Amino acid sequence: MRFEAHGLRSGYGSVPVLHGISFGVAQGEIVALVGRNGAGKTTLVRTMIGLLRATGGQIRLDGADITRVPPSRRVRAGLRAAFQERSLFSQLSVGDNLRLSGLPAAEHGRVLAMFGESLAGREAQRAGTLSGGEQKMLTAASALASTASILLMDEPTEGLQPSNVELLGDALAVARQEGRGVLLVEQHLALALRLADRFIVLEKGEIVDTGTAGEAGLADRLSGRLAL
Amino acid sequence: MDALTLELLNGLSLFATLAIVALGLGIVFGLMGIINLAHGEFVMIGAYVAYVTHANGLSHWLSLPLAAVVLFVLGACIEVGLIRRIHRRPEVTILATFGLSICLRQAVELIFTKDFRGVPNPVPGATRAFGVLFPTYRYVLIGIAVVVVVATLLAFTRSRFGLTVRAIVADRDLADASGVRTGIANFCAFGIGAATAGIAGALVAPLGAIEPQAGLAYLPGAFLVVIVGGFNRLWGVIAGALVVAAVQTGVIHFYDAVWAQIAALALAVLMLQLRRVPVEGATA
Amino acid sequence: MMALLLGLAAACATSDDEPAAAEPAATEAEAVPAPADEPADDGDAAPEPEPTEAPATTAAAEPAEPSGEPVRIGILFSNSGPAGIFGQPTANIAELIEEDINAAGGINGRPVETFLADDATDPAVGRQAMEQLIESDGVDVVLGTHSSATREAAKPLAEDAGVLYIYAALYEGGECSPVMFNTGEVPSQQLAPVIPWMMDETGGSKWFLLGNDYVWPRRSFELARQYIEAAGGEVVGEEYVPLGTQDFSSVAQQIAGSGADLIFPALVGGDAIAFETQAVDFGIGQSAIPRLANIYEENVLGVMGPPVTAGMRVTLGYFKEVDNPANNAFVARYFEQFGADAPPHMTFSSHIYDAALLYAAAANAAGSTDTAAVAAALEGLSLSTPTGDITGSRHLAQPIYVAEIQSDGSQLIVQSFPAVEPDETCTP
Repeated sequence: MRFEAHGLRSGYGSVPVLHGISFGVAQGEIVALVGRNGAGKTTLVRTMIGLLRATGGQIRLDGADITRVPPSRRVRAGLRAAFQERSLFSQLSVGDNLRLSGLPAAEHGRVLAMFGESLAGREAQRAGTLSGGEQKMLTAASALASTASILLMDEPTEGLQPSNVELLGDALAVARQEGRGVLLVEQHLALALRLADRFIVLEKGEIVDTGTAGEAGLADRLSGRLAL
Repeated sequence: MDALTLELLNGLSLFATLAIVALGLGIVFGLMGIINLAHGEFVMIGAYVAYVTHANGLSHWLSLPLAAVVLFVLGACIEVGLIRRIHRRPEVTILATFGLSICLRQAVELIFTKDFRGVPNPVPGATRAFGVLFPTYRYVLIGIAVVVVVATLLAFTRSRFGLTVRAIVADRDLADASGVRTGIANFCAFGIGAATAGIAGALVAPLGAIEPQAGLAYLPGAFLVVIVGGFNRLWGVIAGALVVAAVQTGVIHFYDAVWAQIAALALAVLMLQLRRVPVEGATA
Repeated sequence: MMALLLGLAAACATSDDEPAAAEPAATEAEAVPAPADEPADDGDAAPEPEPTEAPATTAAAEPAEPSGEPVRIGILFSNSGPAGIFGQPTANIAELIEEDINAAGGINGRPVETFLADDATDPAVGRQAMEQLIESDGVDVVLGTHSSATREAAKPLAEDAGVLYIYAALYEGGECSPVMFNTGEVPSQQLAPVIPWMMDETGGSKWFLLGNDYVWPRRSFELARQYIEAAGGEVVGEEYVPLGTQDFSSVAQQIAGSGADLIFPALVGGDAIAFETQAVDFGIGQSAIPRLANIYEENVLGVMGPPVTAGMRVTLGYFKEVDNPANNAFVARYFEQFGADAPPHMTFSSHIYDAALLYAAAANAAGSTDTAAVAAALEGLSLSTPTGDITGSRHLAQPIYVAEIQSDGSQLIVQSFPAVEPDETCTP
């Protein structure tokens, strides 16, 4: 399965944010999308999943144009997003959140154990009462536990303890091994540099640089892009 | 003592009526963020179903499931034909359902004329219980309304369908992005909302006049209940109906019906002030 | 999408305009030969003052065919909205008004033509409707049967234009304007003679007054209290409920606890039906506590059904059952012309008919349709109409009838009070 954007434009109301973005994510690879705050990363994720209407360009899944397809159908076609904010149904229980991700109750324990003990056995708790880090873990865990082929992870490490960032990195690597494609949106380079196969740098709604893992001087170049 | 018992029973029957009339309005607003100004007309059409059932010599009790079916179909058609195309624009849905209410009234008037219609009480008279005589039909009404309201709310809160629906209430976008088919949920929610209104209409038909304008009288009460009960909470319909019935019955008892209406409206204004941004669900 | 919706709404709205459909039919009326309703002067006409012959009831063998520019009679009525239920009888009567006045020679030799306008039971719409009648249709007179709210909204237009405005609906009284006359019953007429009669008839004396909360029931009860006390009775309860009230359980309980042996319900439409059907199950139906009603009309009574209504008394200025030869012929002709299942002719439509005949007679007497001249001629003008003998004034002196509902649901006139004067003072 291959996910592509072609000349994608999007924005809020009459304010354009993305000015023609083209890239692709294939199965079995992790693509890191980096950029500073306000570069348009979240807008891109929301447009790809369909919550924001593309004002131009195309989104394709396995060659089929899904630019006008509603989010729920994109999800059933194999796309899945873990949002940076409002990523959970905070009024619903942890268990209900997992059920809504399509996970049968039998698997809830396994998913909650992904980050060690902290979430274990808390299925009945309201998701909104979890700490910020715990909500991040639940969001990432439920996306990873879904059957989606392409995962869009919007800043999944934000607010996570270093040890949990490690666990998340391992889980993403496993997902790649299983043949899933991941778009990893990050502000912080460490995890991206450790995992990603390819890099896209977004600035003011445009792709200003790309790179491949192992390229000479990549880390310095990307750091330079993100500084200032 | 007997007077108090009677007032409690009066309050209970008012509560049951308010709850079942407001149920569909609450569901449709809570789940879809739609202020359905045609809800009263759904109730009115339910009453006409009872009238047609009676006019054909059939049992009044048969009209309750019949009204549910007729109104579910009507509601589902309206959702597909009208609401679905505009449901993300609250101001347009208000206009559209307002226009719809006029259309439904006119259609009913064309079929049945403006004349008042009535359905005879299937169980006339009163029953002695708790030491007082109280109209038999009102006991039946209380029972049926409570069962319908509770069963509907349970269906929405306990089933898988209910879960997806609650997800839509909590965060429509996230539900959509989680793969929940909000379209089908809307279809069912609107249809079920209309169906409960139909049952309400058939249920209250023997207690009053059936006419094309009758829906206009049901809408304010239903809104009151939903406002007081809280917009985005399904069980709020029960709480809202309880509070409104208690206030109305209490004020009628100590003052009169006109003050009761004023008190209920004041209550609504107060709740709106306390709750703030009541249409958050609609604009999100 | 918006355009589609608005289009849809507009398409719906057009079906409101039933009066428009009634007009073409009404304009054909000139060709209809003189109707079967013969003069009502059967000796029961009031002897003094000498009645002026009304055109429609004149026995003139061959009135001249009216010709020339028609006299335009506007009729402002409620054909949609809550009071729309009374619209069709009025639209029917508009046809008969044209037929009868034209058959009797018209007004000053000119034919009459009626123009209908619907207020949709909404004062703002009523004002526009009045404007249309005066400005577009150029009417010489407006006959109105609609709410007081519409009257208040529309009256200034008639005053500014100097157009005579005859309000024909039963109402609370108190109207006084140079351009206005009233032919509807006012509470003093409906109640002054009937309340003592009711107490005699039933032996009851403790009244419960239950009304909708607006000016007409309040005014009715204010007067009823005077008449009740003057007749040695007492008011044991006075309650008002908002229009559109659906639950009467608490009110029923108050009535049951009040010790009342008579109920005077001034409730309209659906409220009346809801109250009466619910009251029976609370043990305070007509058979337990007799009713004197001042608005319950046939449709409302029919929906309640005879088990609920049998024995109720209703006081009004007209019932189609009023038994005089003119009325019998008129009612027979009404159903013949509009179908046996037509919405029945009733007090509202009857007073519109009376208003039209009074206007025609006054304009003929004045030899003009000038408002001031017709107004002067209306004062003291007496006519015999199907209603009975009426005498024109700012408020009409007219007969008041009491009907009792029979066990088959029919209405039987059990008492009539001729020439009841209103307790109204108006010298504009």
